[in-house]
Amino acid sequence: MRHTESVPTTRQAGNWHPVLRTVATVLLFAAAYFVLQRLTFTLRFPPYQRTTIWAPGALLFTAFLLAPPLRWWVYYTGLCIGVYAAYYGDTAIPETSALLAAQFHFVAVASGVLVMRRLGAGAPFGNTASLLAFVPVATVLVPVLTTGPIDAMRFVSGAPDVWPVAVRSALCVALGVLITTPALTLTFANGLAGLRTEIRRRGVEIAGLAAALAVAGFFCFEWPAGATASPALLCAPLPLLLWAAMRLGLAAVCWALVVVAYQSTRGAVHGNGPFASHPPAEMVLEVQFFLFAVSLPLMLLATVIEERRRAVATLAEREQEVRGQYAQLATIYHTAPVGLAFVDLELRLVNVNDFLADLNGLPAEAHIGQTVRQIFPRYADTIEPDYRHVIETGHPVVNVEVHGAPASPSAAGRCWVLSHYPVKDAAGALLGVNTVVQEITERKRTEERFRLVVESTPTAVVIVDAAGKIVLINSRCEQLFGYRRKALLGQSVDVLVPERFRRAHTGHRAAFSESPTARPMAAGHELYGRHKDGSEIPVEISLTPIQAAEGPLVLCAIVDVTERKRADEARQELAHASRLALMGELTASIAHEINQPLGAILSNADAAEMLLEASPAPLDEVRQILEDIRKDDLRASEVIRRLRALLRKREMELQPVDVNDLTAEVMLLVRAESLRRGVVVETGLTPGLPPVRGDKVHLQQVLLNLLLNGMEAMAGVSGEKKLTVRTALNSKGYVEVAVGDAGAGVAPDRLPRLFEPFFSTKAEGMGLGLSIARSLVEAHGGRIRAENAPRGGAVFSFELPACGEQAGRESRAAEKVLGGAIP
Amino acid sequence: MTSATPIVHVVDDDDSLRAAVCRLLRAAGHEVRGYPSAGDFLLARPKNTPGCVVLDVHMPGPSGLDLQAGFADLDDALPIVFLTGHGDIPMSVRAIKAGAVDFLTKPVQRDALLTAVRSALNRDAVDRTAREKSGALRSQFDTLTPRERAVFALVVAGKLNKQIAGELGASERTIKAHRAQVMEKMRVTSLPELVRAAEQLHESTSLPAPV
Repeated sequence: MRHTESVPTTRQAGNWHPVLRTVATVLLFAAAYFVLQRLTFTLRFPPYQRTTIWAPGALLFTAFLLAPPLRWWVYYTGLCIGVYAAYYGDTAIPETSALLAAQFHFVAVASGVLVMRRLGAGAPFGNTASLLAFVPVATVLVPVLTTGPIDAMRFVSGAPDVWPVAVRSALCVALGVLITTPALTLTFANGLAGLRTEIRRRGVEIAGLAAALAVAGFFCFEWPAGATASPALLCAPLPLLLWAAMRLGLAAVCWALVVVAYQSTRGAVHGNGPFASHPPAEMVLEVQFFLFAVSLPLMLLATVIEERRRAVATLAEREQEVRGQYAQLATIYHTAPVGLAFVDLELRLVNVNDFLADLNGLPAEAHIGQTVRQIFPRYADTIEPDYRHVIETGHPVVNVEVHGAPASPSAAGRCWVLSHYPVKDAAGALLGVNTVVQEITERKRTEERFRLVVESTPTAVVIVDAAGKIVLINSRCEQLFGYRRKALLGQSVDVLVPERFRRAHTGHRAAFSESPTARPMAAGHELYGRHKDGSEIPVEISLTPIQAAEGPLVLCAIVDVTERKRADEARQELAHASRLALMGELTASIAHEINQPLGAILSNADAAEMLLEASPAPLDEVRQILEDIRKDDLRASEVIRRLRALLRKREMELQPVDVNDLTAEVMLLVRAESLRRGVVVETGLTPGLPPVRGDKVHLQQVLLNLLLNGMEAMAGVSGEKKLTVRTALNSKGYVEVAVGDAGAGVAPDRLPRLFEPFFSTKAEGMGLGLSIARSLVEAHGGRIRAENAPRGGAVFSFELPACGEQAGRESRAAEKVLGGAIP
Repeated sequence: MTSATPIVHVVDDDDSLRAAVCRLLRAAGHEVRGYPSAGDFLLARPKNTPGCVVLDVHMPGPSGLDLQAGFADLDDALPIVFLTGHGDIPMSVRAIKAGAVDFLTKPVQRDALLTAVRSALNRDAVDRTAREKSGALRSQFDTLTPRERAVFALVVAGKLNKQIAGELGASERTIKAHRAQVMEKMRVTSLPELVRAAEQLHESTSLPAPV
């Protein structure tokens, strides 16, 4: 219900049951046939009882053209009923013979419609081609198939006048189908609604035409003039038919022809009009020829005119569209932010847009018709050859850089890029050249600035494309790697990587291009570059991704760290020497640390020996002694291990270090020394400090140095010798270790120089300890300082950057990405 | 009192070394007690008991040398054997001068330790006897009247009765009686014995030396 409500036309049809509808259609068709056939009977000529035009034949043809073949049976049924009813009681032809003839007619029409469909005339009337397909079907195929079998039967049965009857019957069927089918089809093709629209639109004109035709036809064909009627009267309806053809189309012409056929036939039958002069048997042929002669050209004319009219309407529509598009293009042309010019084959400017006119400083109209040389005298020598090249070869010339003439104050220092494209007509003949001008002055300047910055930077710079090819290098890079610029450009960057790292490097480059972020290369690993002579250069590299027009690039900034490495090594040496010296100071205490377990071992062994002499020997106690001996042995070797760790000559090893653990370990080392010196060491360690990233031994060395200095400072103190060691997180987020003594403090004028090399307040000191401590702390990114405490004594402290969770995670992630030993 | 078993007191802050030394001394047949610091020893040691101290020099708190210095003022001081991890010569000289029996370095040889302990115990025994003797003399001396003490001093100074009488402004007969009284109270029978008693008294007390 909802569906039918939403579509009113189908609701109307839907009110009828399909069976009812079919029955109604059958009856309606039969009735129409009956009426038309009976009308035809009134126009029969003696002696053959044939008429000029058989309109009922067009009914079936129209129905089959408009209905799908599966519904043809409905009209077939209607036809049979109509034929039987119409011929019932007819004297000339018995109804059974008529029914048989209807069968032939059905076959003929079905064949005709199928042939037309086969020829592709889907919409049968509307263009010349489909009309030309229709004409032979209507005038030859259908008549022959309809009447042929009956004529053959009459011939076989020996009936009289077979041939004249056959010709007249065939022409009768042909005329009926030819004229009536287009009239019915075009009228009912759009349904009753289309008919109503047409009447509303042209009703008056149609009515007028119909009236005029009726009047003209009456005077022409039915005026009882007898033998005096002039043949010229035949031309009377012609203007009206032409009117219908030119103004109202094929349907109207056909209807008009139907009217003319009816009138002319009626006139002939009743002995009026121009055809009255002949005997009736001849008049049938006369009328039929007349109707053919009139209808074929008029139908063709109507179709051609219709076609023309449609073509003109389509053309007008197209023109409108093209005008709109042209207006759009013209707007784009004149407002485009690039200069555009069209130049003919003589290099005259045909068109320039406003942008180019502004660029040139002349109004756009001033350019038109002038030659390129007249308008651009300074650049003609540069650009004319390009134009000639385009004109001669027909190929475009693109991206030609043109620099502003230095003599022109408005153009000097500016730069444009020109592209010339050939313009051809549809046949491929060259019409001229279109030129696109883009100003790239800013881009050039930016590029130049970038080049200068890169060139003048003291860092070696290599820019590499996604495939690893070198795109740009600066002079520092030439110097560092020993190559000339030309030798490197276009080469793979692997040339600059030592052979032993190349394989890994390729993988890392791929990893970088997957997640390009600015970062130092291979954080935490030593990198080497390869000089032209094959030697390796220690370097540090930072990578920055660049998005360029030609694709992603990577800027590698390379710093030569040879000098720094040398300095690092020297510092390691010094630090080691200084550690040896520190240990020298601690010799006595260290001996004590080792002697203590050794003494215990000796005494335990002696005791055991004596115990074993007793009988019975107290074996449990001896076992306990052995256990203690083992413990003391381990204790002694632990001391030695710690010493070795401190004394070994080694590279800096960075790892997370807990400063509290570090302090506790150093306290073990100086315990004996503090006892020896009678110094009380008080520690205040803040729990839960974040780790620092550093070298454990170096940091121990710094703290040891400060502790021994503190003890030394209190050597002459008579009161309590108290040394305090505190760890804390300071306000900067650094981990701080402070060593305070109860000595005399440092003279204020000496404070600033304490950390200078060879500056010592001690008589026997070399003055290296604190300066090395400072360089070690600074190598960790920290700071060391000394000050006098308000209550007396000096405080030495150093702070180190905490490596928080964040830093730890980053470095781990970097190592994961970059893998193991990385150049 | 003299019959009590002597105790060897071992004072060392290093637990394992102390235990080992104690064990060794015990195996050698000594009664031994160990203390982790000088303070512990001073608080816990039994009074008036014979023995000796095996003492570490470097300890947290008062050092061995501090203990030695404090010990000198006490009545029942014990002889000290020093045991050190890193002794230097000035330190050992100072310790010996202050009366230490020996100054041993770790690791210590068994015989050296046992010998030192034995001699320390011997010295303690001798000192203890001497101290006991001088204690008796002292109490005898305490019974003397001031007049008798004056006479005692002059007698041991070798003065004749007549001279003493002259100096004190008394008759010779009175002096004679005092002298007899002194001899009796000091439980001596001859002048040389009296002189020796006076010498011993001087050593252990602050009595004026017999000239």
